[in-house]
Amino acid sequence: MTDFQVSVSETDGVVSLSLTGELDLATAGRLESELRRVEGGGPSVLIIDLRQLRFIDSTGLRLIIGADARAREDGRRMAIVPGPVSVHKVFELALLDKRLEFIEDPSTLEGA
Amino acid sequence: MTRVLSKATSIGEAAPKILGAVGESLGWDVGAIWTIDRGVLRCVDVWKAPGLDVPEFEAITREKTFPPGVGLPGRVWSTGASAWIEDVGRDDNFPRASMAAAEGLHGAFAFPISSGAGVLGVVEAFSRQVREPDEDLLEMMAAIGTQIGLFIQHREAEDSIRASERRFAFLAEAGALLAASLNYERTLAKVARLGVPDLADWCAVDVLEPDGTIRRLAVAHTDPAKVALANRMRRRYPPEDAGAGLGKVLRTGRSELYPQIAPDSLETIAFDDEHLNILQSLGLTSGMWVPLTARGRTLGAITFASSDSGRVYGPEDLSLADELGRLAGVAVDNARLYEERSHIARTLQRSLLPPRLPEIPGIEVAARYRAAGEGNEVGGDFYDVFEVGKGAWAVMIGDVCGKGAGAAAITGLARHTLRTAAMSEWRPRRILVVLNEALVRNETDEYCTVAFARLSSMGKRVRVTLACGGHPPPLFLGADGTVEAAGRPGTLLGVFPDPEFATAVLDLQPGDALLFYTDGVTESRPGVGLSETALRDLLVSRTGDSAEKLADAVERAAVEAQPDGPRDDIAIVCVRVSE
Repeated sequence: MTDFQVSVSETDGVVSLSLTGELDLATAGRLESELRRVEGGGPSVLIIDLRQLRFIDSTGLRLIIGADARAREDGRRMAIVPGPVSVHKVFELALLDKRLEFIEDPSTLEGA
Repeated sequence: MTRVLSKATSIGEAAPKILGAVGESLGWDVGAIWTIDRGVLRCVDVWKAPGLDVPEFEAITREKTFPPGVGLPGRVWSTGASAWIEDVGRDDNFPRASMAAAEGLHGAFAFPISSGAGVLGVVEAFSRQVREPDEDLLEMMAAIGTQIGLFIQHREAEDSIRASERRFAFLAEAGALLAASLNYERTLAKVARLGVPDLADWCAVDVLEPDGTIRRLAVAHTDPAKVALANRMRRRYPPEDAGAGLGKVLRTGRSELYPQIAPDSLETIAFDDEHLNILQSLGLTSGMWVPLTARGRTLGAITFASSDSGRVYGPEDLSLADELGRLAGVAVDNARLYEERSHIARTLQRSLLPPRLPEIPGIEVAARYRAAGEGNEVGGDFYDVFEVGKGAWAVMIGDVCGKGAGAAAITGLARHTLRTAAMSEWRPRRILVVLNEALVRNETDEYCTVAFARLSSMGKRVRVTLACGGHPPPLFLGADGTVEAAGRPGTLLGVFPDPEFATAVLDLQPGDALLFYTDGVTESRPGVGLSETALRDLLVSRTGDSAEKLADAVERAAVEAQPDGPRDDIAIVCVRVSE
């Protein structure tokens, strides 16, 4: 079975989702329900941390694009901490490195 | 007496001991024990005092059956009370009187074996003397009769528990077989074999085909010679025409139980003398037919019949068989749904891929497609190669995110939009913009990635104009063994209303190749899959190979790099300028 975990932390309305392992068709459901749950709490900033992610497929990409679209609609800031080269390449290939907000250091937002 | 009963495992085993105990301790000469069997009293055993022989009386007793009220046993059965006859020769309700008189038997008494449920059997005792009624003796015997009754009841309860345990074990085993496989034909044959000999001497499974014909899937019989006989009969006398049994169950969807098949009843169902002959030689004594049902429809039937074993089917057997019919019906239904779904998926998949690749003068083209999984879902990868003008060709490859019906619809939309757009617009970048608009307007969550190239023959070389939307860039393999990615990143199609695509132009010389692929090829997870670097190395090692050989090598490497089977669809298109 694919190994995948989501851990959630929150400080002053900044919610951070840290993804570990492989995000694909088999595990996307878990991220999706976690995203919906967190968004329901109305955070002002949502951070998706991909530093521990080892693999992402198109299903995973779709979830992140969807979360970004909802963030724009709800007037929430969403930022992504880039994953390792193999993961980040998937974003670059689709020019998503230009279309989504990527930040190197999540602490700059968490302290805000 | 209690000791005798507690050691016995059946009434048949206990009977001689009971009779012996009664006869010897009380000084009576002959005893008989009767139990109720299908509406009459039938003798289970006869006991005689040592040295005594009463052949005529014993023979008639073992042979004769008594309905309620008739004879000494019938009288005790109908009244539920003990009875005493001083001399059977002078009794007017004792049909065996002449045999008894001839062999010197006179006095008799009988008592019921009874339980709370009523009379279960009768015990008789006979004496060579004329005997005065003995009330104390009758009272004692009544108590013994109750004790024997309890014993029988207890044994019957145990038998019924054992039988229900066997039934449960049978159903559990059959259920496990049926659930384990989608190949219902093979599974039902196993179920038929499972039924023999525990449940039947003869078990057959028939399914109703969509055109209304009945197809025999499996037959199991304790005697293989009879299988051949039955198969011959079935060919000659189709069950569709039969008014009873299989044909009827398939028409009505209701099970049929024939506890006893009397030899003369066969005449009423036989089509002709030869049929009757075969029916008789099959020697069927009892039978039941249950429908295979699922979602209110009858899909077939299971036949259970007994012959040599003499087993008689009752309501409990029927309810077990009915349950098996339901289990098997659901299994057949599931398997058929699955087959149907796979068939639809394959048909749809074929409609999303070109039936054949065009012949392009001076350019070799090869394509490979491999859907992930068991082939029951439509994959999201697509490719196409077609002519767009004189000496100009379009090559495209794409990947729709997701699987199943939704993805298939987007795949169809993408492929046809690209084909149509390519007829009026020659710039690949503009063609991707048209598709992006169509997908954004479509307002689904699905998106796709595409690499689209226009190939134009320019003498010996071929000019490639290429645009990518979120798709891995095709790999250029030079005749000299160099490999590089061709094309620049572009946005995914169907996500942003303001897409961004870049055009790349490259010229292929004779011997140069261009490999288009989907990310199923390079699905590289930690430890599994073909990395992009490995793919490049592979191409370099294949420099000079034809387009067909290159496509083969890439497909094989991609599949072999995922030992558990590809998790994503794999699509490959390779073009190469002939040398």
